[in-house]
Amino acid sequence: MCRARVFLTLLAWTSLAGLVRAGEGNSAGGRDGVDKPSLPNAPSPAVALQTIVKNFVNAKNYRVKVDVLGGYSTVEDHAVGQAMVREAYAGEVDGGLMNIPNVKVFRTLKKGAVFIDGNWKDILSDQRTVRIDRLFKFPDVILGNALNNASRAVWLAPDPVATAVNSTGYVDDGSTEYDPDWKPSGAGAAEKAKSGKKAKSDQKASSPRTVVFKKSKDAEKAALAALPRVIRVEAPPEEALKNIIEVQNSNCFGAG
Amino acid sequence: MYEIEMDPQTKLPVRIRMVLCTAIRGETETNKAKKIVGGRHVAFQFDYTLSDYGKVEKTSVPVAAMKLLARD
Repeated sequence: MCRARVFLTLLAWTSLAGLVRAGEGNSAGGRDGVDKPSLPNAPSPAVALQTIVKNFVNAKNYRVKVDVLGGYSTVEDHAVGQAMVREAYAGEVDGGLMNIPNVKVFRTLKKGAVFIDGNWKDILSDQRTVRIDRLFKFPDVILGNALNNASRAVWLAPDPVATAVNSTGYVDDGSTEYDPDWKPSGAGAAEKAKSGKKAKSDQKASSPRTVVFKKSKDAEKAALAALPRVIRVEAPPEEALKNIIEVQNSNCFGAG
Repeated sequence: MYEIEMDPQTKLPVRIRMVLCTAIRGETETNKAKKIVGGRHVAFQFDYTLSDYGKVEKTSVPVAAMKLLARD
């Protein structure tokens, strides 16, 4: 089984005539995107995003859940007021293979198989599983799309209500500069070993420049909690078209 | 629009949100930059939660399913 998670396709941008840019607004609990300069000690969001994706590519396996909510909205933050589609799926991903046990589906990025009526069939042979295929994207795809637009990445300011004293934000271990030429590849093992060792050594060697207060542990935690941990990426208008077409192809929005 | 939340210790993504919107002709309000600012429009929100990195046990795939997955 090929390691399909290495693919991270480059999207072919298509024009979005008559449509508008993919959503924006305060969908993250009301917080506005804040550019890096206004967040002290925060590294470049593009660098952070690339680090996150690199680590993700090197991860062996993980569990993933998705909640899909679709419908009509009348507000600027695109909160769905009239829901037409509600779906939830959960799967386990190992290498390039996703297992969705509840619906007996195995899938890769390109193919899928579902157990129906005592037989294994193609995932596109049944309308219910077509919806899964169209709506439940591999996180690799989404992260790849976000990384392709890394220049548009911004940090979201930490939510002071949701952030507990014990939580921390992104701590730059000084391991990276943004590499515009880096693309996820199959050399996951070597890269993992290198990045793992480097991250550890950097964490040991790097000075705690992100720590503002040194007098008390609570103050130190508070300082770390003030660092950001959410990156927002606005995709160009053209990218929305492809994604919307896939949603429409799932036929989840009804025939009418 | 994508939002990626990461675990600050592992620097792995733990939450991904994707919001897709499309205008409805004649009903959606947009500004000069073609940005939706109001009015009725279609919106889809995908909220992913990722967890248990490295803790998933290998699953055996039935031969019949494997054949379908391997097909060109």
